[in-house]
Amino acid sequence: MKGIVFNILEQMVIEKAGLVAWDQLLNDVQLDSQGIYTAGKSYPDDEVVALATRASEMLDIPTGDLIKAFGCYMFSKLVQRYPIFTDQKTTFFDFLKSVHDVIHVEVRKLYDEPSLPDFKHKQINDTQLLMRYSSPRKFCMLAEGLIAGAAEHYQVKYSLDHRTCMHQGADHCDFLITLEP
Amino acid sequence: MSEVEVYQRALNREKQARLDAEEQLENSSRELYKKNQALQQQQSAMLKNEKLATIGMLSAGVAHEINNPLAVVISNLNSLTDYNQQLLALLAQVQQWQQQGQLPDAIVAAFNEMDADVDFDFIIEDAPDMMADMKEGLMRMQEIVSNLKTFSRTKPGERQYIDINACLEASLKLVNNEIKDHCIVNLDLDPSLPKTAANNSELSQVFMNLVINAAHAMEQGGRIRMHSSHQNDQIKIQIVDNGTGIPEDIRKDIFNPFFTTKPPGHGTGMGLSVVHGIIKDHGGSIGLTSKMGVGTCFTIRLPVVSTQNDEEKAAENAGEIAGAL
Ligand code: HEM
Repeated sequence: MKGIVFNILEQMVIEKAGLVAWDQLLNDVQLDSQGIYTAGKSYPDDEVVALATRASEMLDIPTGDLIKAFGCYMFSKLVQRYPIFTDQKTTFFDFLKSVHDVIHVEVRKLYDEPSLPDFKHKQINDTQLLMRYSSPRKFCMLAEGLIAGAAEHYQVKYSLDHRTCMHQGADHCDFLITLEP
Repeated sequence: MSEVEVYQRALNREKQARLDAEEQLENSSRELYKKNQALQQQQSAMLKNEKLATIGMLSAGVAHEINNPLAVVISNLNSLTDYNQQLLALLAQVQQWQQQGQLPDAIVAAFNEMDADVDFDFIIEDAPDMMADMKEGLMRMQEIVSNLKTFSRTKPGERQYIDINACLEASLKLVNNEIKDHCIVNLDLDPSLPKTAANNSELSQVFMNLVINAAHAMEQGGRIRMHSSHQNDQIKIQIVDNGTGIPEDIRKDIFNPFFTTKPPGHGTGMGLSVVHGIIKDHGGSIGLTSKMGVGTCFTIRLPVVSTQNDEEKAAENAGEIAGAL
């Protein structure tokens, strides 16, 4: 994972629980990086998992929910940093369809060998989009959170059916996203 | 644990993260700089090739235009040389008749008057030399024109399966007389060199040119090494001397037509441009490395061409001058 993801995680923890909590968290998990993260460098994926797991214990929230909340938070920060991607797409679905072929393609130019997931999508009808996620990192909850963040940005209501999941042994996750009035 | 300590640690992390970021920035700047330089080099190599191609086209035009009038001049000069000999024979005959007192006084007087004006003895002596000089000059022009044609030729010469080692050996034999007095030549040939489709006489011209150039770089004597080797489907030929070396500032011009370091009248400056043209035609590349006072190494790379398709591919890759740029 690139340092930028950790930077945003740190920002979220400090914003929600304070610097002392973040310091405590780092002290509890004892990471190789010592919590020193630079946006463009890569750090072990395990560190995100370790931080999220410990944070979920501290806050007594299930890890999945915590990662999802983080995804939602991360989306708003990514958009702050790179407003061009949401500026270019006017609808929620158009934006989601551009993640793989436009946004993450740009990410590859800005960051040296990022670890990005693979997305395929299928627009079923005007109100339904199927997104198929696959990644050796199995951060599908992060994806769910990012999608939630995007929905907030586009001010739409939706429901998400995480019908197939890599954590249940599948080789991909399917998100069936339905727009709600 | 006091809150100050917490902030202190956070500050230290920030500091370290900033140092890391700076280091990363430096690394990518360095990377960018290197890539930029490589790009610039590629670009100048491309410009160079383009320049050579333009010169090639111009030369082809010039060669074509000069060739026909030149042929007329040479052929007429040959006839004129014959006519001149006949006229000189007549003149000699008249002189003989005169000495033998066989000519009427009036004719002798007229002849003497002309002789005082033009000096027949001088003409008899000078005219054949002038004819010979003119012929030599024209031959030189013809050679330049034909070299220009080789340099700029659009159609490559006929190809046959040849053994490059044999070609190297034969070329050496042809020039041996010129170099054997002051140079020792070592052949270091790869016995398993594959045969390739190439034009024997053209490659021979390439090798002779390079060997003679090497010999010229070693007026005081020296050693020339001719080396062949191959890897995958590429043949490498190196001609190495321990002569004076080629100054860096002229290396880039060395394959240009008419470029020569020899004094006027010696060498046409076409040698290496012809070499370049021939190697390019064969889909290969030629480059050099040189160190002043140590010597020069010309490296030729030729693709092993076994089928028509290979040859087409080789032609597509043609046009690179490696190293020298
Ligand atoms: C709803 C929209 C998006 C989704 C669903 C999404 C999904 C993901 C996921 C799941 C990952 C984690 C890596 C993995 O699973 O293999 C990831 C990484 C990343 N994404 Fe996105 N993304 C979205 C939008 C964006 C945007 C707008 C940006 C802005 C530039 C962005 C930049 C990144 C970066 C920098 C990484 C980290 C790469 C690394 O760690 O090497 N993503 N994305």
